[in-house]
Amino acid sequence: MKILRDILKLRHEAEREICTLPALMMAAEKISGSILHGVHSQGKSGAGEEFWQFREYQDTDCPQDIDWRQSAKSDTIFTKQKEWQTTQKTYIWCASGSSMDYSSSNKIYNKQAVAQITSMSLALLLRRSEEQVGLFGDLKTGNSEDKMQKIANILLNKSNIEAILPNSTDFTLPNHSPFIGIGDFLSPIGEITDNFARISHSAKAGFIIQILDPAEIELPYNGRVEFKTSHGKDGNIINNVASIRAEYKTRISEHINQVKALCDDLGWHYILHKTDSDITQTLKDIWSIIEAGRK
Amino acid sequence: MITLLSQITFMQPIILGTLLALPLLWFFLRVTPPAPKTIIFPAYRFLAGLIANENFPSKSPWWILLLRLAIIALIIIALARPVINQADRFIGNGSAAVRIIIDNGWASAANWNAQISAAEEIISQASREQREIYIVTTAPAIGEVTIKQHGALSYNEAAATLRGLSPNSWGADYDAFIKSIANNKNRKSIYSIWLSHGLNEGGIDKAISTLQRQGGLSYISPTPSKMPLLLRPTKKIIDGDTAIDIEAPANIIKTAPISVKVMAQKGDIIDIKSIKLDAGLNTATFDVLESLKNRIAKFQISNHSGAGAVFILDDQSKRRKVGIAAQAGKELSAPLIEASYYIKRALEPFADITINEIDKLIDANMSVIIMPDIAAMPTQTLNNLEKWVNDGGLLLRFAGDNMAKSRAEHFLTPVKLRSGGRALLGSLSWDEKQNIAPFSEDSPFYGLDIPDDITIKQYILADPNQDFEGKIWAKLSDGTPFITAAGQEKGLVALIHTSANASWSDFALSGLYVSVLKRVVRLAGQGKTSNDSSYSSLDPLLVMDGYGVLTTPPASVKPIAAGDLTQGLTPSSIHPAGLYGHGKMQYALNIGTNIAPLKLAENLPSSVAQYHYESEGDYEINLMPSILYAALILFLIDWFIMIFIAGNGFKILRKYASIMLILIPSTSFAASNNIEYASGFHLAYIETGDSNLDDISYRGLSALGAIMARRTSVETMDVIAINPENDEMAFFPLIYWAIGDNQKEYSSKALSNIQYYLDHGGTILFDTLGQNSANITALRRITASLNIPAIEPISKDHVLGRSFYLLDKYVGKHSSGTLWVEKQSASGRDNVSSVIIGSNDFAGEWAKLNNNTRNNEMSMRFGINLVMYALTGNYKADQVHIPHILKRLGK
Repeated sequence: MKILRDILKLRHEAEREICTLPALMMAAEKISGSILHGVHSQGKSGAGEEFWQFREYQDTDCPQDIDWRQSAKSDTIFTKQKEWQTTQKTYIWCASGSSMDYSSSNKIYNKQAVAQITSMSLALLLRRSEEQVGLFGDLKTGNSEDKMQKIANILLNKSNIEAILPNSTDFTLPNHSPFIGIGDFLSPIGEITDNFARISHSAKAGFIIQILDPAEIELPYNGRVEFKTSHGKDGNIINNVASIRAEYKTRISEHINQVKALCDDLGWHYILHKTDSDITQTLKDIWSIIEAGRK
Repeated sequence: MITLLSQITFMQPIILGTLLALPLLWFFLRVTPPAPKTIIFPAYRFLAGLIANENFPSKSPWWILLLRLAIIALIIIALARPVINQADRFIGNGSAAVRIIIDNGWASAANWNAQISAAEEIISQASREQREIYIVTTAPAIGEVTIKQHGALSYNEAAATLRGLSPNSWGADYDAFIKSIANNKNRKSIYSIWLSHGLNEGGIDKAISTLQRQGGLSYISPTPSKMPLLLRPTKKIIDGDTAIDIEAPANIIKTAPISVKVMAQKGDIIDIKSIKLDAGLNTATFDVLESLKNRIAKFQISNHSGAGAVFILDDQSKRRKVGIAAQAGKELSAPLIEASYYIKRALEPFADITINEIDKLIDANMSVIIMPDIAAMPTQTLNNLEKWVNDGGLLLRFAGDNMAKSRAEHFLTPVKLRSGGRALLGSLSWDEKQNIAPFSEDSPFYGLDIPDDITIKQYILADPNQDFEGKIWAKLSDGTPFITAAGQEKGLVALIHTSANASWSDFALSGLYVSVLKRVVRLAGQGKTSNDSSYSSLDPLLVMDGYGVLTTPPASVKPIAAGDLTQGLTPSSIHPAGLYGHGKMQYALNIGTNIAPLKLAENLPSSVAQYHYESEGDYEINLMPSILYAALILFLIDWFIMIFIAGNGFKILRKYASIMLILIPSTSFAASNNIEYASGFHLAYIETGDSNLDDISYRGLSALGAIMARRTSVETMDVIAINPENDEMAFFPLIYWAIGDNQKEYSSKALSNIQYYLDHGGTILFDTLGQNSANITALRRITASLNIPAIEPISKDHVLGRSFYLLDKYVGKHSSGTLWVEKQSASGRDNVSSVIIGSNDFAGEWAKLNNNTRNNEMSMRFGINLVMYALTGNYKADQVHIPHILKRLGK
């Protein structure tokens, strides 16, 4: 089982993932070029670059704000107001804990590592496009290099903390912020529904990446196997795994479909990623969705 | 099967105790199912409550368990090191010293391997039990009259002693043997094992009782089917037929026939007869063309080695030199009616014919001189002739007109003759024509058929008033002597009373004429050798080794005194079987000629433990490898079952493949070295175990290699140290071997490696590093176990002195030592000596760096010559012929 142990490695893996994506990088650069600094119009006057309205000069205004060209056209003195523009704050949530610490083969990363790499890659991509990135429940947004280091740090340090679903009861998503949730989402569908619903109140958009090991989908074991929960508490000896495979596959795909349906209901986007498949492809997919949602 | 099982012994029986754990293992395997694979599964929630189909076998079937238990059991048994036929059966258990008695007489060659492997088995057991080992043989070594008992020996010494033994071409000497073992009187008991050839060579009882008194005896003999056989001369060898007797011991098993070969000098087979053997004498008669008979050099029993199975022939049965006397100055005027022509035609296929004057014939050392109708000769010639006859010559005379007319006293005739011939069919004669009467039994011509149509018209009558006792070989039908003969001192004079041509009779036209002449000629030389005063002794020319191969005799073989020959000489350690002779005379000393009839060593006292060498496969066999292989095969069967039944094969395949990889002996390393060695010229030296010496050898050869690269086209890749125990030596044309006093001993495997190398074209330069006697002893010790051809001091014009530089001295650090090379190198190796032995510490001189002395230069030159010699062989020797070749080409 491949796991991630240090920040450098995570950072490196994430950079490597996105660096193998020239097209993605180009896209990110393009976004930052066209939408200056990733700003989002707020529909009212305020700090920003775009023209909003001319307004009669008031005493409280700074003389520097007077638009002399406009004022010269009439007797009134105008000041130029710009539209209030803010940058978008994207929150990423990455699942962690024993449930994520699983891989069916020592050749592929465990789910935790894949989730961490995906999270970090998205954070880096968002930063490239001048977005503000934060970790839901853990870190406020920002887009400095320091922020990136902190994100990586937290992602890794959280590995041992049980967090199978975002803590949506203690934290709320700031209004109009996109939410990216990354995890295996194997909890009962009811819990997931409640949790996502709470977040969706304030979320501008939602992206769910469900990361599963291929073995969790296919159940490729044979013969006599004792299965245990992630906590190692319960156990069940199955004498002939092959005989229950079909039934299991029905159950797990039903669950996956439920999660997907939930996302559809909330207007969120859903992507299933298997740990043995290419992270790059998933990043490409998710990014194209994010990009499309922003335009 | 039971007997086989009873022969198995375990060297580590304690390990077998673990077999008891097997039922336990079985119990646990049956009771507790195999532990399931545990997987921590995050999606466990979805598995909960699923019911598995229980039909799938969770336990291995009993027969797979049994198979696996069998594998484990086999491994345990193999680890207990089972051996079949442990040597215990010969020497029992105990602490008494062990004496191995090896029959090494002529009869032992047939079972030599069995004897030696039994001996090796015994010494390995004795050394395991830390018992003293003595080795003694029953026949003395060549040139010795006493027998030396070796001992007490360590295992290595005993093994080396065994290697040094070989069967001999003479019999046992039980008296000497008893003397050698009697020296041990003061010792405590010694248990003896007699590895015998199964024959009692006369007086074995005393030896056995002595051995028993000293502490017990096992007597091991070959099975009856492997008993030695002996070839003995048949009287018929002298007669017209070619035949030989084969003596088989009394307990011979009459099964497959054996075949006996008649062979020519160079080993060509002239005829083979297969014969079914009975106990006692069996005669094999061969059909050999007359013209080939003279080429017969020996008889040999096929597939039966040993000096007794070979019977060599000497000159006695060889082509005689026959001289036909011709009148001085008389040309053959009418060749077809000339007497000498008839004789020549009759004898040509069987003898070397010379026609010359009598004096010249005598000078040419003829065995037979035939005088057709010569009545007179100069007195001087007559005296010479008489002396020649007295010395053992055979003179055959024919009558004729000259003799009939001669008025002089007849000389050199076997009987007194009447003068004048008797004409039977003359105009005045009234006698019937005469034929030859049948030959009597004491005649040498007995058995020849007499044709009816022979007519004797005229012959010379013997004077009837004399004693014909033993002188008449043939009579006419009226009883008058026709062929007479009489001994004269050592020689023989025979007279055929009619003419050698057809003028007096038809005899010369008949086949009988040829047969009679042939038989007469065969009589030549008989008795001549026996007590010829001029040949006081016969030098050994060739001696037979124990396997019946003729070799050059060592100096310790003594000449045979001529007087001994008459007394039925049998081969001995001083006179081994072989060919003895002097000048043109040869005498073949065969084992079968005079030896007493074969007697089995039977009726031994009942207290003597008696065994047979069963067969090669019957000696102590380590069963461990075969049992491990059996386990491996079961392993593979198990694996196949896994593949085909469990359907899980490929995963297991990977595991088993790794096991197989471990089992395959790793030779890749050696192979890669060998590829390197084969891809270029490497100088090599033998690792002596003395690191200092090895270092000098290395540096010396490296320096030589460097000089060679500079001066010649030989480019040395590297200098290789060889350990003859394991290393393949074939890649090195020349190996340098510095023999120091620390020279380590080598195993027989290493020695056979070295022997193989020498036998297949390799050259070793032994260097004793000076005349240090310890080193020379070390060299002797090593070469004692090697079969090294005869060597001689290097000759002045040896190729070694001219293969690159012209050298007359071969110097190293010292310059006094002589270089020894093979006397005559084996064919197929370009006259390159397989061993070169020097004592000048060559590598020591080569290793001196930047030493520009004359001595160093000459030493280097020797080194270069040596390498060139090893590489080019006789090429340089052939260069001598270049001027002639160029001359022939007209250049």
